[in-house]
Amino acid sequence: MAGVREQDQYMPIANVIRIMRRILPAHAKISDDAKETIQECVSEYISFITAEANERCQREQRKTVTAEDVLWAMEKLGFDNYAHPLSLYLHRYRKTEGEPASARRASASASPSMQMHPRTHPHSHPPNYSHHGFGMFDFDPSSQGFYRDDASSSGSGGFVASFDPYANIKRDPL
Amino acid sequence: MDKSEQTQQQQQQQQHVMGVAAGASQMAYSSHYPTASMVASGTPAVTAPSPTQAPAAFSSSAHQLAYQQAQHFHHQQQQHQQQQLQMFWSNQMQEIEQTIDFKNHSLPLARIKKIMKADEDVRMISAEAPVIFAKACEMFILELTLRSWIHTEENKRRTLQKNDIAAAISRNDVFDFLVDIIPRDELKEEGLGITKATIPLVGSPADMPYYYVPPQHPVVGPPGMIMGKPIGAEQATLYSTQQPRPPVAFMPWPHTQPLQQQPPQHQQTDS
Repeated sequence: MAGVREQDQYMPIANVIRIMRRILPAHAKISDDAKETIQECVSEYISFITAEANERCQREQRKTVTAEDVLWAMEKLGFDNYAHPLSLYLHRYRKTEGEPASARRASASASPSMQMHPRTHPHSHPPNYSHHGFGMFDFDPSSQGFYRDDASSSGSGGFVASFDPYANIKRDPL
Repeated sequence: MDKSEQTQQQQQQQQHVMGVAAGASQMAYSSHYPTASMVASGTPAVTAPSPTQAPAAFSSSAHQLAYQQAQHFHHQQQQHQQQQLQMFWSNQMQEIEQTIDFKNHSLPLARIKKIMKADEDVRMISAEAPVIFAKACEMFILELTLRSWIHTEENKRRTLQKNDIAAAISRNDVFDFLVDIIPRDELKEEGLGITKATIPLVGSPADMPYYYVPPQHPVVGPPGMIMGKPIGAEQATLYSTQQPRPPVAFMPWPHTQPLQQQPPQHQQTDS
């Protein structure tokens, strides 16, 4: 039982190593203590950001920590480099994933995220989607299925058609 | 609807204003730093590559020559590192632009949710939060590994070690929340390494070891205070057996341009 709890505190080591190797040259080696250290750093990162996101959540008297809370916390804690691409990621995720949360929970498996095999799903991409312009907050306002996700609407109500990472700020965050 | 839109616009403007103010304060602090370093290190060398990098006063010409060579090497090294990091963030943006599969994640969502739930104050988590964290942690692992590997290369090794990670953590204040994961002796070793590799220390803020406290302490007081609170909470929850250490606030490194990592020191060097 203690072993299980110990393992549950960290990301799987195989996933961590696979990600590390993506940015290292082919001849690079990773010591075992370095692998474990990165594991610990990732868990600490999740806890660090989550605590800040949850504080904002409670300050606004909400019970559910949303993706926007996470992005807000990252920006506040100095991870601006992360918040900007992740806003785009969240936007594109909502465009393409209309399935209910249970399906996403079922698909919580460890595998590389850059599979180039397109999958069929209810909301197909528009024909010119592959020519999407490069832009941090570039999105198509005419998208019909922007907020069709039920989990999204229940998690973060009161959203307008256009995506604004600061739309949820109801008072001075300081 | 009009009222709500106006309110949102006002709040957004306030947010922008605050962002500008924060950036301005950081820039103001950064601009003061070279002056302090120049004062601290005395008269600059006649043939220094850049007036903003104040060299230390050496009595003999041999030492001066060695210093200049070290300075030049370090400058090239710093430029190379900045290029690597710029390319990293540019690649991340491109990768997200081209992502077509949002169901398979590099990290298991259930594990992420469990770690988030370890904080007893967290009640409910939306389904999208672990999805965002999966991508964020992937970027975090990549960035930390890249910064650690830079240190590995500086020491002419091919095996990434724990002290390389300690070096990467100590060189960036944004990773302050990780100092408790690295033993103190690793930080000391890193400090000694920096001392040997780069002369003088004050000439390169990016390589500042963790224990260095900048002279403009009051300016960085508030950020340290802000960052201290969540770290304390995490320590109380996750590492009850460890002795909590207060966060040491030092020069914040602005990340105002995600695609172009141009630190003020670097810009001043170019100009």
